[in-house]
Amino acid sequence: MNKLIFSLPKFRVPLIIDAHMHVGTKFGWSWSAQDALKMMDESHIDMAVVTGLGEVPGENVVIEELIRTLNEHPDRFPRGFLRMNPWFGEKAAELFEETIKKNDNIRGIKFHPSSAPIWPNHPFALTLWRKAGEHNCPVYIHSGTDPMSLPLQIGKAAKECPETKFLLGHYGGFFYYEDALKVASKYKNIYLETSLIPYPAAIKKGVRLVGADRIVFGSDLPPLNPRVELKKFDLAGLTEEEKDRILCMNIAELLEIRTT
Amino acid sequence: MTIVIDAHCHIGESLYGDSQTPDQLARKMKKNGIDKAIIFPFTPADLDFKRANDYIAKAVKKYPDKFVGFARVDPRQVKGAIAEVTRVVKTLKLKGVKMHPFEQAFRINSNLVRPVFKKCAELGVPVFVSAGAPIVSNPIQVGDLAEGLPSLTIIAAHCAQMDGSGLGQFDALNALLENRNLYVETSGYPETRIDGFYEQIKKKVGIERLVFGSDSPAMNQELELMRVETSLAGSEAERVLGKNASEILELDF
Repeated sequence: MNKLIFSLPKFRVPLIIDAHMHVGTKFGWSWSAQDALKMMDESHIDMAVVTGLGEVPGENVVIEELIRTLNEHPDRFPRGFLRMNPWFGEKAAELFEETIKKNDNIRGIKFHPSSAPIWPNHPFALTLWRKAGEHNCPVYIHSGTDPMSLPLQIGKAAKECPETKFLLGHYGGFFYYEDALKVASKYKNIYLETSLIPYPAAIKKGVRLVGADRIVFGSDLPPLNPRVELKKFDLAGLTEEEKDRILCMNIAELLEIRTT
Repeated sequence: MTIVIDAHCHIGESLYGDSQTPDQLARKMKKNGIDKAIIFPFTPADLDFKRANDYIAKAVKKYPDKFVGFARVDPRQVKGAIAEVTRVVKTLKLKGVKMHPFEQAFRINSNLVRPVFKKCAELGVPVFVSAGAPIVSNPIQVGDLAEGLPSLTIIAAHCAQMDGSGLGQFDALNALLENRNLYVETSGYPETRIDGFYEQIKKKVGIERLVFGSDSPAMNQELELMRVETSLAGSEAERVLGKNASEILELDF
């Protein structure tokens, strides 16, 4: 007999902070802060790190959108990541520096090699990552899609930029999570972000090989379903302390988010 | 009376390290409220699909109400694969054939393997294919296979896409639009909230073309079930959770 209902995650850590989600507009898509907050409320996600759908340099409206989103909901969106196109190299680095100097709540860079196709370890990209590292800002890189978002490439970037912290988005995705575990074990400036990957067992393996201190929960809403993304933690066989680190404390410490 | 069918389960031992016994799957299904499962072999360490298929037939005998058995072949063997397909359908009475373009290293729409798919069409059994892998089974290639054999029922796993950027959606939707013999299965595919794939299937193709599966034990059956249950409701959920699969398999209830 099937149950056409689902249960919310059984655990309850003090706070759940989503390391990766989107608010913004691009082409036909529009996802508002209200839409995002509704999904967060349904899934008991307290706070989230927000990024947008377009890239800068280029679509400068993206900066305004992000600033507005953060400032309108500081208690739910304490931090934002600026989505950037590393092809602009030095210019991108300058724009990033300028933006974070004016906005204390923008604390990182989001890079998606499918929408801004360049290798994570290309010299132009490294210029931008180094600038981020100078300011203690992590870089979130989508991973798992050939040919330019491979964990091994992100590993090379992490090696070249030891002062920069990298969030390896989607844990290597469907095919590359063993490579993701390999580079995260090797380079201590890599964190594994958990959205998308459909293998709860990989999270358990990550805790063993990399440590619970360098894994962060992300929902990637939208497009992904935060309930499904959270459910993985019911199934991964983690301790309460490990869940607390992954669902809250690691990202809070990384981005100086107050949890009390 | 709604029936939940998991269209994608493995029984046996995988050379990659996974394993699942019939008892383990039966217990899992009971816990998760799943009534039936399509079961087929892993790639075994000795690459002996014949032996693995015999084991599937035994599992079905042990749990005739729970399991629907599919065989697995390596279509690169062509003659040998055709012989095995014939044996499993005529002698073992299995209900379909599973093939894995990535693990058995063949392009799904290649001329080499086409005769094996053709044989399945001739015998009137559906094929279940792992799909969405670059080079061997991306969604446009799956569509190409479907187009060449319109009488063959094809179920493509993972919504025919294993692409974390959503870049496979365009080709996958076109493949479904152009080929009514093609179905897609849900395991692992993260349903999106922007231009959702399930939404597009509903609007343009019909919800009858989507079936629930878990890829157990590589993926988590409870998680995969939740993936579908949080995305669909009512009669649409019933169709995807079991009704569509039961129609494809021509099961009577």
